[in-house]
Amino acid sequence: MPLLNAKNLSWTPPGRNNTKQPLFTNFNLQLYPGESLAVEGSSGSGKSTLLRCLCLLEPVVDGKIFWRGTPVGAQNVRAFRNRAVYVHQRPIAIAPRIDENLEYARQVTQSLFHGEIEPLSSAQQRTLLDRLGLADIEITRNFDDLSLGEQQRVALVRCLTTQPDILMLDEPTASLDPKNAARVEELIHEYLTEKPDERAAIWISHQQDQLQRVTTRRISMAPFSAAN
Amino acid sequence: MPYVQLTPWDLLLASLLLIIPAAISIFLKLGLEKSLLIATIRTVVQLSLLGLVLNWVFAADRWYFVVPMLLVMFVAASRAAIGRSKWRFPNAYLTAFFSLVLASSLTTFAVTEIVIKVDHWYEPRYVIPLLGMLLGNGLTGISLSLDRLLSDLVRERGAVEARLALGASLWSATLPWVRDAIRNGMIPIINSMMIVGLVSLPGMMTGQILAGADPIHAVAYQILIMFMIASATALGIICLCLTAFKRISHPEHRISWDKITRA
Repeated sequence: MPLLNAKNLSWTPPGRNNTKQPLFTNFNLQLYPGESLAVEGSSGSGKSTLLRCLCLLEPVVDGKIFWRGTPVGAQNVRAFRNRAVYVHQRPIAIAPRIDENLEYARQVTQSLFHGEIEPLSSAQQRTLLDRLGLADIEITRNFDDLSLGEQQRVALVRCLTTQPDILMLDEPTASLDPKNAARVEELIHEYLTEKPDERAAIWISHQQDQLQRVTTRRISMAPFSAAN
Repeated sequence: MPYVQLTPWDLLLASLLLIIPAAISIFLKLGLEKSLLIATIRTVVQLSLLGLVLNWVFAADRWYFVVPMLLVMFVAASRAAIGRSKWRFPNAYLTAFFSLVLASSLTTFAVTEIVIKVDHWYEPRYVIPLLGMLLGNGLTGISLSLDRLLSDLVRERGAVEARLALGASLWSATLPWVRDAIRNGMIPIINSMMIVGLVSLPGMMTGQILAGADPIHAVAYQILIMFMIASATALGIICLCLTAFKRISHPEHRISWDKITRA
C-alpha cells in the first residue's frame, strides 16, 4: 500500500473570476515506502503548491488524499501533517528562540500521539544540529538572528523532531553552501534508509545533480496547457 | 453659586473659540477648514437631536422608547468599530453588533439591577448614558483587537503555516497572535484606569460636578463606570475575536485566507 496516495488533485489560484487557469488538474501521485521522489518543473509550474496541497495547507479544489489507505480530512489532518511534514522553502521562526522552535515541534507530536510516537529529545536535536554544522550555535539565541543558511538547517531539525514518515522537502538546501548541502543530503538519506519500509521523501530542487544523487524516481509538473 | 444653564447665545459666544483652530488651519494651509466646519455643524446637530430625543425618552419613560434608542446606538457603534479596522472578515458588522450587544447589555443591566437597583430595568436616565459609555469604549477595543488580529495573521502567515505543517491545531498555531490582539484591545482601558484622576478629570465625573453633584458622589460613579468599561470591553473583544477566528477557520486546520479581506 502506498504511504501517500493523491487522486485527481486539481488546484486553481484563488480569485473571484472563474476564468483563471488551473495550475494542475487530475494530478495523481503514489508514494511508496523507501521512495525518494523528485518533483520537477520550471519556476511557477506549481511544485510548491503541490506540496502545500498534499498536506492540506492549500484548499484542494478537487481530488482526494489518502494516507496509508485512509482518506485525509478534518478528523485526521493534524496527525497526517505530523507524519508527513512539509519543510517550507523559506525557513520561518515559529517561536522567538531556537530552543522554543524545537520544543514546539516536540510538544505537538506529544500532544497528538501521547507517547505512541516519540519525538526527538532535546539531546537528539542537539546531535542533529551538531551534525549539520551548527555545533557552535547557542540554542537560546533568537531564530531570526541566524543566517538564512543556519535557519534552514534549524528548520529541518525542527521538522525531523516529529520523526515523520514522509518528508516533503521544498528546496531544503537552497540557501546552503556545498559543504552544508552535502551534510543535509547525507542526514536525510540516513534518515530514510534507517526505516526504508516506513519512510519516504518528496524533493523539490533546482539542482539536477542533487536530484540525481538523492532521488529514486521523478515526476514533472507539466504546465496545464501542455497537459491538455 | 447655583447651576448655570447655557443658552444658545452662550454657545454662540463659545463658538468663537473655534476661530483659533480655523485660523491656524488657514495660516499653515492645513486644509482643515472644511472638515472643521462640517465637524462643528455635526456636533451641534447631532447633540441637539440627541438632547431632544433623550428629553422625549426620559419623559415617556417606556421600554418601547428606550429599546429602539439602544438599538440605534448598537448599530452606530458596530459600524464605527468595523469601519475603523483596515481588515474585514465575513459578517464582520453582524459579529461586532452582537459582541457589543452582549458585552454592554450584560454589564449595564447587571449593574443597574444589582448595584444601582433601578426601579425598572429600562430606566432611561441610567441605562442610556451608561450603555453609551460602554459602547464608546467597547468599539475602540473591538476595532483595535480586530485590526491587530487580522493584520498579524496575514503578516505571520508563514509562521502560522509552519506550525500547522507540524500538526498543530489551528488554535495552537495562532494563539500567540490571538493573545496579542486581545491584549491590544484591552490596553487603552487599563491605561486610562492607571492615570484616571492624575492627568484629567473624566468627562462623566466633570459633568456630574458641573451639574452640582458632590465630588465624592461623582467619584463613586466614575469608579463604577471604569469597572464597567473594563468588563464590557474585555467581554466584547473576546466575543469578537473568537467569532472572527471561527469565521476564518477551516475545519481542516488552516485559515481560509480568502476570507480575510482589506477594507
